[in-house]
Amino acid sequence: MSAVLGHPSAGRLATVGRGFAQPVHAAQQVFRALLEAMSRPGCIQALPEPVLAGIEPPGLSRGMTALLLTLLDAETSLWIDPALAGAEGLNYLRFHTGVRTLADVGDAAFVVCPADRAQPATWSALSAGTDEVPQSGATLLVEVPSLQAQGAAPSSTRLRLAGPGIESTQALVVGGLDAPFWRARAAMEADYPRGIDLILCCGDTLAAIPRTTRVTVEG
Amino acid sequence: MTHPHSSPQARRADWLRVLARAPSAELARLAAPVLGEYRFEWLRAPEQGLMMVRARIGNAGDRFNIGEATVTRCAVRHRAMGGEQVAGVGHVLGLDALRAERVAQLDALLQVEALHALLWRNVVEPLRECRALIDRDERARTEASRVRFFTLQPEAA
Repeated sequence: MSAVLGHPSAGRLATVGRGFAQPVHAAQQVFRALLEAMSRPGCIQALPEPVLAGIEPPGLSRGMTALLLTLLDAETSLWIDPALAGAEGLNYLRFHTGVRTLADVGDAAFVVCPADRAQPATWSALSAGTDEVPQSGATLLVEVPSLQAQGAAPSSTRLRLAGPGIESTQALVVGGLDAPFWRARAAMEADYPRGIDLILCCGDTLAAIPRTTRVTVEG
Repeated sequence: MTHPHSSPQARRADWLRVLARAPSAELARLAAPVLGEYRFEWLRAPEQGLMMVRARIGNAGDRFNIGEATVTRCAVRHRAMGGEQVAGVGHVLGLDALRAERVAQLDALLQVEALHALLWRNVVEPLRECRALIDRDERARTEASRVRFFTLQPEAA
């Protein structure tokens, strides 16, 4: 008998934290917020507090954990920066979602890293899909130290976004990611429909910059 | 009764096998008085799904898929008196979530040193005997209708 429903061995299981209290309802609510964020690029969405209340994230922020619990399943592949998730974090995600974790960032459908590890080169390292199968392009999730609609935060970059889902322009102030990173992102716009969708997560809030959005750095 | 196996993994596999194969009513009767006193937290609430069952022809040939079986699984966590944390898993055939829950809870408690001997005596051994009785009856019933085929070899001229 071969197990299709696998789980990590119980010695490690004892240290695994709780996931969503109600997996179906919670994932639906988080997905709704994410859908809203994707359809209105740069608009900051808050994840509903009751959904986040029960979970015990392994080193990741609550918001990022909720996103990953929602997005990942046994058919997705994940590359996560070791700075964010050690053995315990990987165990947690594997147990609750069944996701495959890959050693090579270029093959992963979902890539997670903290802001200080995201380089301009990150964009070219990830899979952007092909012209025939653009939907196979990766989704990059970055945990950023600050995310605001306006104002200024230390080491933050002010962005002006335009494109589908934005009436004229949308301002977004993102901390932790420098101007070269954003210029590398802007350089990828010519490759459309190939591209990488970006989700920024800060605490319990998130904003998305899908590949269709044009990004301008305002210094 | 002593443990039939020595390594902790083999022992755990053994009690999980006993619990998973125990008749539901008997499991409920023996487990209920024990489990009531302890608190558990869900790591994974009961989920029902399908598992592919594989077999080998004549127990030795190549593997083949014999069919799918419904399986209910869950995982619970329990903090023991000493503060140590244990997790128990329950996998049972069929759709009985309560049965999977009891298996997982007993699995967690059986890993607690202080409770192990008591549970082994009062739950695991009686369930093992209960299953053995059912298996013996079944074998006897099958044996009664057994047909043996003989082929007479022609004598060499």
